[in-house]
Amino acid sequence: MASAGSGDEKAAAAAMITLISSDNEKFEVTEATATLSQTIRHMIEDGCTDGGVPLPNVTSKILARVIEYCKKHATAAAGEEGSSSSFSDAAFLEVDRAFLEELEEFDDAFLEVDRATLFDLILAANYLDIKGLLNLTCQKVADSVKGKTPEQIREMYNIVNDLTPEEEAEIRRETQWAFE
Amino acid sequence: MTAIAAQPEASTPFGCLNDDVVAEILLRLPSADDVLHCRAVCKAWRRVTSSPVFVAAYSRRHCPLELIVPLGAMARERVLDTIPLLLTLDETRRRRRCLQAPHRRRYSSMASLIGSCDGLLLFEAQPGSAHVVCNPVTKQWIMLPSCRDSYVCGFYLHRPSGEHRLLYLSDDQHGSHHVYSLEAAEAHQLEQAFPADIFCSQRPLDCLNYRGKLHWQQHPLALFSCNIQYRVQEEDTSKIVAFDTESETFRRISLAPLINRNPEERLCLTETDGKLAMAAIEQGSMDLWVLQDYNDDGTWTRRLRVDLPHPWLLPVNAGVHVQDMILLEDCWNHSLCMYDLKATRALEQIQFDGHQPVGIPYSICRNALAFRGSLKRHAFFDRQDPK
Repeated sequence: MASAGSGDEKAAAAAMITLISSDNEKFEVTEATATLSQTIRHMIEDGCTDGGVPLPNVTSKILARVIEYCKKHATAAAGEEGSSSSFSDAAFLEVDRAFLEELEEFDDAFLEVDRATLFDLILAANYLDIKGLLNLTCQKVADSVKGKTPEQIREMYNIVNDLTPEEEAEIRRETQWAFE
Repeated sequence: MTAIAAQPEASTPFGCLNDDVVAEILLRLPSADDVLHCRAVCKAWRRVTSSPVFVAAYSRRHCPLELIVPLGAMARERVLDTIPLLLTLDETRRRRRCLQAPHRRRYSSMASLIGSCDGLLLFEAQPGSAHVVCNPVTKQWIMLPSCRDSYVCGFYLHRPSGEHRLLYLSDDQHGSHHVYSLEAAEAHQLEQAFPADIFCSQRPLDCLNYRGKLHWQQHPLALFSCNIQYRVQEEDTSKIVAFDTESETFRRISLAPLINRNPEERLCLTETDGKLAMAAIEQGSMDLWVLQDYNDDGTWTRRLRVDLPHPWLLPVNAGVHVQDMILLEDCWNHSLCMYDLKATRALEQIQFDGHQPVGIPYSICRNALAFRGSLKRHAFFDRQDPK
């Protein structure tokens, strides 16, 4: 791969990967950002990323959001690894905590999306195998289901009740008594 | 991309997710009750949340091993103190819970909690009476037929068949030892005629499950059958009784030669470094013996001798067995602690509000059990109770 870097180290750090969305839009990202995705990491290891990585399951709109997430979290990961020893432990913890708080705020803001986008993000996170993003988005949906009755859940997500009368009877038997 | 909806007016965003992704989401529900609600939403969710992989993953994530201490019984309720048993007793997550039986009269036999196995609790009114099995997480109950002249003394998972079984021993010369399967709803007789002891009347069931084998530490708590025909040899009375849950056969294991010389000595079976072990405690001093070769009871070696923090700490002889740990109780102050055999130290104590004033020795944890919740669905709960 051609590189305009001035030194070897810089070139390695700035190695770029091109991701291609389903609607054919190209995104240039650093390797550090791209390898948050285990799927892409494996492709890089197998040396099959020259000429770009086609992602036929991810639209440009969703891919842009996914890259935004990966960039932020890749910086976080790099910060942890490249910690300099000139800080005292206490100062270091302070920096760490501030950074973690910032990351949490980022994640909260990141989740401020409509439902369709949230589900698309789950699909993309699952396909690209990005653990942190999958956890974040799945937890958001789980939180919305928490504490609801089956009827409320069905209504909220337009789920059709396709249970047979036998299954319904089974459920009634199962949930007759309380343990609290 | 366009999603293909089965019904155009009711397309659910979940429609585009496969079962694995739905499982990823539902695994993150904080309470088992939420999962039970999800089982009642639609076929797909019922399938996903009932799969063995999901059930096991959910238990690992949300259901810690807990210490259950029964505190009292009302007509239809059992009050249980439950404390997570992670590395130590987690006081902050200690909860008091009520277990409610479905029918007052028919379930009066849940008078005492005597056993726990694979997410199921076992109750009985008194030794020899009918039993009730309950999964407190899925809130299912079943009453088992009563067996006259025999006593339940083991509750285990029979790995080859996946069945949950109860081991009944008989002390009657006309009776026979047998095993009752919850799944098959029938009993089968054991071939091996093993001299029966009434140690099985000890409550709760106090046996250590080590590699699929149940172990009872008998002496000095065991009583022996007075039936001459089956009389146990005198020298056998101090031995450990082992029951292999796969082959369903018995065996006796001798104790270390130095153990059990003193009636004051209290014994406790455990497992350390993957080996069967026995702690012998007397006046605040503990010896830990390890059986080096499980198949040769001549290979007991003393692993350590330590002084406990208080001379009045004694092992809880109940169904609580955690690897490399023993549960100790201070009966004078009504407190409990786990003792870490690797680090040789007692972890923090938790206090119970004893019914007895402090200063009078009283074991509040006599009926304590270790339990891990499970969302597993068992078909045997759908059977009708026996008349």
